[in-house]
Amino acid sequence: MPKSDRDNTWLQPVLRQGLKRVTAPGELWNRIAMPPVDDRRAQPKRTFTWMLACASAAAASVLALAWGHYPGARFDFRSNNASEVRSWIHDRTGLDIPLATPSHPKVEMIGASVVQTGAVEIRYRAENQEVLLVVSRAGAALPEHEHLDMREIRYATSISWAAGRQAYTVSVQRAGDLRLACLGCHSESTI
Amino acid sequence: MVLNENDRELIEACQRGDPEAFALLFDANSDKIYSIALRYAGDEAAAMDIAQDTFLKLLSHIGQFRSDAKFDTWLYRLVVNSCLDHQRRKRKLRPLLDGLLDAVCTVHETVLHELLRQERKEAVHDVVAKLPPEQRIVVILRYMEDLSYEHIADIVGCSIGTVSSRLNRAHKVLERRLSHLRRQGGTGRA
Repeated sequence: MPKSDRDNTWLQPVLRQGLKRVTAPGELWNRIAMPPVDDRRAQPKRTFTWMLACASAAAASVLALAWGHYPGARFDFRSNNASEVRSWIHDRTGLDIPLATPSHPKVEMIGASVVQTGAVEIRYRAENQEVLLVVSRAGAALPEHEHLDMREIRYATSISWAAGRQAYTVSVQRAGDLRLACLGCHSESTI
Repeated sequence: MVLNENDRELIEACQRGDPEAFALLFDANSDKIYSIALRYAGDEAAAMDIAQDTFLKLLSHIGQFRSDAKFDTWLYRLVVNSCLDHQRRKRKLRPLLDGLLDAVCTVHETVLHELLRQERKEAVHDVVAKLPPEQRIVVILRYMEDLSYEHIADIVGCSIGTVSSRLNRAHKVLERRLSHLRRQGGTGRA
């Protein structure tokens, strides 16, 4: 038995249990093949074209490069409409993010992604300052708006709080722009 | 026909462009490919991208697969390369807030869950997803796919000693971060 296995007899079953295979979502096939539309059949017959599959691979590569010019450009959902972003997030996660609709004139919504189980990432610009907002569910025991924790993370500043059984963390690159970041949800008179 | 990823007839049918054969091949391997992608990337959206990329590469390159080679090794290499490509693309596409999301999520969890004073059992897959890429992939191939050191070395393109070294380093991190899951009497496998 290799040395790295000998000394970890308790860890191995933990890892094997934790890393079991999962079932691939049905959507994966849809992203690869082009089945014919047939509402009468419960299981559409699977067909695909080789040329379409290769073209998809090429298109995916081009898109990946094209999106590369925009920082943080890979999102599950891209939109500059705060109402659409809010609806998408609610449909995907059940979280209700009180984004200001319509957005404040200084705010440009960019998009959102589901980043971990139960958490969502929203990015927007507030007067040319990139803002990252992370929201997840929080337990009932957290005080509403009372606790704010502010930290410096690498070259950014973040502030965290809980409200409405949801936990929020907003991050910006410079501490001076944290108030601008609040415009994503709040009017200028309230910040 | 009994499905087996090394089934020569199925592979040859795919190479001839038989759509039904590819569907069977997909069915036989989709869970494996998606699971590896998910444990590597740590999120479903990225796992879908990686798995899609892998199967599209399979479609594009299956004509180059040599019948004297082992198909499963070839397929493992495809998904491993897709995982590493994704890692490289992710780094390039987020220059401005590079790494910030990971840091913010960590802070987010740290601040709020400390407030709640709840003990969080960190899921194995969360810990594995935070390993360095080269350690992560060997852990997944070893413990999800139960591959030998020799087979992993063949897939990843390194020596058996390197596989052992990477696993050893990964075990040290995993032992520390998963120590709360330790149970008495756990047994290992040879």
